[in-house]
Amino acid sequence: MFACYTLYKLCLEIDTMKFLSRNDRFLIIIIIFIIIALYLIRFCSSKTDGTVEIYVNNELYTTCNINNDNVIDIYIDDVLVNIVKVKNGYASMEYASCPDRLCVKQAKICYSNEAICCLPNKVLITVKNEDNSEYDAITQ
Amino acid sequence: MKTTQNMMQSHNKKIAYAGILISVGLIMGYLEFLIPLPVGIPGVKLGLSNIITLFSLYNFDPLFTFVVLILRVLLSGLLFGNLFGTLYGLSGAFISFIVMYLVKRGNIFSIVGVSIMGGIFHNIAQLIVACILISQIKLSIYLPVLLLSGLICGLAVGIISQIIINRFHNEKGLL
Repeated sequence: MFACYTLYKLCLEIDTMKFLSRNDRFLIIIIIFIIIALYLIRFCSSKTDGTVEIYVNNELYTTCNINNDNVIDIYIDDVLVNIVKVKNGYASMEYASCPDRLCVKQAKICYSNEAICCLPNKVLITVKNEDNSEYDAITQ
Repeated sequence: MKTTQNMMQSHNKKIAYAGILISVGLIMGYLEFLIPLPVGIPGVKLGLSNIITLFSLYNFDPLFTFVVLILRVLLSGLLFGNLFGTLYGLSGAFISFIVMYLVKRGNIFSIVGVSIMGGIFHNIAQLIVACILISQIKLSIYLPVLLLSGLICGLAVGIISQIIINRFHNEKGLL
C-alpha cells in the first residue's frame, strides 16, 4: 500500500520535470544521423572475393582466400590460443583461450574492412579487398 | 538554470559521501556484471555507475568527483575484472569525465545531455585504446554500434540521475 503511494508520488514528480531541453533533442538527432551514415558506409564496402588476413601481435600471421573452406589454428609460443574457421564465404572465430570469449560470439565477417578481434590474445582477423591491397604484408 | 550548489561542503561530509558513492558504484558494477547485454561486442554495457559520477558532478567539486571516479574504477577492476578490463575502463572513465565536466561547465545541455555525451565518449575512448593496442584502424567498424549503445544507455542513465538529483536539490535537509 505504501509502495503504491510512493510510486504515485514519484510519477507526479516525474511529470512535473522537464527532461530533454531543446539542445538535448538536437544532440540526439545529430548522433542518430551519424550512426545511420556510418552504417551506410559499412554496407557499401562490397562483399569481396578477397583474402582473409590474420594478424597476431600486429604481425601478419597467415592469409587465405575467403572462398576456400579452411580451419586455421593460431599458436603463440606453441600454445593454441585461437581457431579461425573460414566457410561459405564467411570467417569466424571458433575457439579462443581468453576468459570472456567475446571474440567467439562476434558475428561472422564477409565484407571488406570488417574485423573480429581477440583483445587479450592480440589476434585480429580482417578481410581485404583484392583491388586495393597495397601491401603484401605488414610487420612491425 | 540552477547554479551549482553546495560546492563548499565540510570535509567530514565529503569523506562520508565518498564512501557511500564508491560503494554504491561498486554495487552498480556488480549489477552490470549480473545483467550481460546479449551483444557480442566488447564494451557494451549499461553504464549504471555513471549515475554516481553525475550525482557527484552536480553536487560536489570536480576534483572530488575525479578522485571518487578513479577509486571506483580501480576497486571495481580489482574485484571483478582482469588487467585488460581495468585498463579499458580507466581510459574510458578518464575521457568521459573530462568531457562531462567541460559540457557541464559550458551549460549547453541538461543532465540527460551531459550523460549522453559521457556515455558516448566512454565508448569512443575504449575503442581508441583497443585500436592503439592492436595498431589497426579496422576496428572502427564497431563505431556505429558503440555510438548507439552509448546513446541509449546514456539516455536511460541520464533520466534516472535527473530524477535523483532533482529530488536531492528540491528537498531541504538532504545533502
